[in-house]
Parts: sequence; C-alpha cells; structure tokens
Amino acid sequence: MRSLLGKCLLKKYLLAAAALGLSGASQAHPVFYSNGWGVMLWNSPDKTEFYGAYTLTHRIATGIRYFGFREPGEYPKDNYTLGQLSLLLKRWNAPSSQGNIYATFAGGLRSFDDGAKKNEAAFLSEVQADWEDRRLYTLGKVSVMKSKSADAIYAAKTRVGVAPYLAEFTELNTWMILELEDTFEDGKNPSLTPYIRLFYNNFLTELGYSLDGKVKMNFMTHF
Amino acid sequence: MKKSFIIATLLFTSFNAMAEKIIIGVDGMVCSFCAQGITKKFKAEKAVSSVDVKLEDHKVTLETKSALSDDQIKSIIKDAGYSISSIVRE
Repeated sequence: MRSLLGKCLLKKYLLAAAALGLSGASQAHPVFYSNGWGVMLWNSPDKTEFYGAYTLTHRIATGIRYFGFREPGEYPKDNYTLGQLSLLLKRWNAPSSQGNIYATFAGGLRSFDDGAKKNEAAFLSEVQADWEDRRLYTLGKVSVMKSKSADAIYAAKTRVGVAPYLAEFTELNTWMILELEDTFEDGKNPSLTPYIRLFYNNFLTELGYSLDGKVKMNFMTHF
Repeated sequence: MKKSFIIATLLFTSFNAMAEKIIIGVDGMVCSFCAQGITKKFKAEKAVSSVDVKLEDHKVTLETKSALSDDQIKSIIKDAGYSISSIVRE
C-alpha cells in the first residue's frame, strides 16, 4: 500500500519538479570539484544521515552513505551503510546562475534489530536537480531505498531558498530556506521545515525547526 | 660590475615578462563552495602566486609568477566544473 501510494506521489513530485524547473540543492551537491573531498551530516530526532565522498572528476564522485533511523531519543536501530556512486548528468553554467542534474546509485548493508540482530543487502537510488543564482536557490530530489525484507522507502524533497543579502565567499552568507519533505508513509504528513543556513568559506551549517516540532541540524564542508 | 648589472636587468625583465595579472570570467560560479573549489585548484598551480575570487563580478583574478597558458586555465576551470567566459591579461 505504502509502495503504491509512494510511486503515485513520486510521479506527481517528478512532474511538478520538472514543470517548475526545480532541482537538487546546488550547495549540497553529491559531486564536488575534481580531487575534492566533502563531508555532509543531516540530523533530526528520527534520522541521522551522513555522506563522505571523494570526487574523481567534476562529473563522478564515490563515497560512503549512512542512514540511521530511530525513535526520538534512542540510538538508531535500523542502519543502512552504503557505498555510493554519484554522477553529474548535466550542468548548465550561465553567467550568474547554475543548474544541475545528478543521479546517485548506492549499495551496501542494512543492519537492524527485530528481536534478533540481522544484516541484509540494501540499495538506494536518487535523482537530484537544482538551480541557483546568488539570491535564489531551488532543489528537488526523489529517492528510493530498498532492502530484502523491508518495504521500499520512497522520499521526495523540495527546497526553496532566498539570500536576504549578497556576500562574498570570504564573508558570512545567510540563506532562509523552506523545505518540504515527504516519505509517503501511511498516516504521516509531509514535513515542512524552515531553515536558516549560514555559509562561511568552505563550511555550511543549517538549523531548522519543522512545523511538527522537530529540530534539524545539518553540516557540510568541502576540502 | 657592468656584466652583473646587465644580467640582473635581464633577469628582472624576464621575470616581469612571465609575471602577469590574469582576470578570468567564470560562468556558473555563484556560491561559496564554487569559489572555494576554484581557489583550491588555482592555488595548487606553481605558476600562481595569488587568487582572488569575486562572486559579485563572476571573476577570478590571478597573480602569476611564471607563464600560465589559456589552455591551462581552461583545463583548471573545467576540472572545477565551470565554464570560462573571458580571459584578460594585464
């Protein structure tokens, strides 16, 4: 039921994203510059997500992706640790803007506890697109994660951000961002989260508080 | 003495001939991570003595201490994932 509903809604999201020209967060690109390293961490009460990657060329990156799902206040009991390959499928470089489409494929291990500790193969696929200039930023991402015994987890995320002022990269950049995320789970509404993003040199941090009362903290760096 | 002066003059002249200020117009360079990537790539070049990025103008200004060709610059910008709109040498 969840899978069918997820697939239908996922199609709607894709069509809406295509129609609006939305795409993945440029400042959270899975592929950086050649020989560049990156670390990203997303944290909310029910999920921790980590991505550490090395970019081989400006079109290909390999890395490790981790998802830890948990009940609020507990340690993650459902963990996905995956090797990831990300591809920059298309980039549009304009004088004052940039747009991208990325595809990600990952495979690895799901470790979980349903009375006994178990491990099984797990896979993830994502498509992300983005467009931004120095004042506006949009992101759209759809993903599906599947392991042998669990229902597929579908997720869609859309973001729109505005910079209240323009700053150089050696100065503090600030963004106000609105994020809509849906995991298509029965009885669970999409989560709307306003964020404030602070960006200085190669460090980026985001602090959000969703309308359903969850504190979210994200961190990214490239080096 | 005269010989030393001539050699010093020649060295100084040839050094100045290689040292340049290069202003590069870069398309797609809109965020701090973009600027950081481009800065890192140019700083890894022995010919480059300083890099200054201005996001507002979409420009990267290099001070060089030895020759850096247009092809090298294009390759570095492409490796960082961006496109060149102009190269001006001063």
